[in-house]
Amino acid sequence: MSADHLAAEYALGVLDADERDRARGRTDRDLAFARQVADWEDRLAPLAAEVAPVRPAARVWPRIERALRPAAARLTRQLTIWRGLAAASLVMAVALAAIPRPPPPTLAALVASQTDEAVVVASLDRARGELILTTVAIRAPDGRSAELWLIPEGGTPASLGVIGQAQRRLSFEGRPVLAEAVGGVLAISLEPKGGSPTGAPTGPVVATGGFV
Amino acid sequence: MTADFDRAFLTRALSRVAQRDAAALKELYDRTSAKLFGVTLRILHDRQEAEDVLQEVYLSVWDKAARFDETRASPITWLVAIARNRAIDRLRSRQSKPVRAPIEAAEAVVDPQPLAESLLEGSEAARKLAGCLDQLEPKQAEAVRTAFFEGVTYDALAKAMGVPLGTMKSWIRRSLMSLRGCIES
Repeated sequence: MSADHLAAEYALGVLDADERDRARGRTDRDLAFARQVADWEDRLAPLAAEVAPVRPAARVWPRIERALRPAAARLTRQLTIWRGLAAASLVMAVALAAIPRPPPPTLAALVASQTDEAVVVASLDRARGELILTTVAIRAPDGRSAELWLIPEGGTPASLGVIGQAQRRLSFEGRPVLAEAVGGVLAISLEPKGGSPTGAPTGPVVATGGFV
Repeated sequence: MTADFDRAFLTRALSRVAQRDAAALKELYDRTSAKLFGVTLRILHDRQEAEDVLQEVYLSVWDKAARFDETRASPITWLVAIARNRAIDRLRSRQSKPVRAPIEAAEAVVDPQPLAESLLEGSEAARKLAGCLDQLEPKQAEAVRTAFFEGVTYDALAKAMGVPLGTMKSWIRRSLMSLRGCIES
């Protein structure tokens, strides 16, 4: 069956749960397929003209509004993400430990968000003891700053500073946490202007990456 | 209000939502929630679940508004696609789903929100799609409509219409390809 048939069936909604999951997974990996799905959604959506509108109960909007506030629900979601990252860094460390030879002296990490609003290449030069950060793209929303974090294996996020346009060199001496960078995870979060006021990430995570 | 104006209004609201403007999300909600609730309720046949999904839909819009591309999609069809996808995901996550009777007329408190309406009912795209559906075999057009409105699987659709699964698959695939040809002609 062609990709276009599958895109059409996914958009119409006739696939069963497993087929649907697989098709959705493909939209994440295959840009052309994602575009075909979007085109089919656009072709079929006008059928909604034939669906009678129904007023939702008055309680629905207040629930949405509550969920938008940086309240308990949101915090929990962020904490879950950060816990997930800590777990991911552990998995990566285990995977690296299984490699028999020592890793090369220079390692690179690409930290890129899905929509390219923040793309940073981090190059770890262990011989010279420094991390070189090169910003490829940065478009933080107004009033926000994109902040880079290093989460060492099993550790808590340590700030590597707000991401700017210029290339930066961070020395291991100045940032002892960098000695633990291999096996860790780099992440970019959106923070209040100037960076997280608490020293720990508070905003949404827009990108992650590890050294390879 | 004209459809062009309405489309521009929703597009503008979405771009403000992308900038984390909660008031813009409320404007969007006020103008589109009855249509999207109609869509989710039709698929789920359960007010409670449809309300939960509606909430997810607008939170998803809050997160994804920056990805809306006005050059590729109209705002109302983008919103409808999100609502249908969420509702169908919820439907699939149920253990088993009997195809239920359509919602009682009394349950559907119709609340026409002129803005969403003018963008869909009055739209060239909706007229064209309806015209193209009319060109299909009546049974096949009914299968496409039922699939869209109820969000059911091929299997459920085949059972509901009393035809073999293979027949239903070929009906739908052929119908979709004909529709595309007709829409793009």
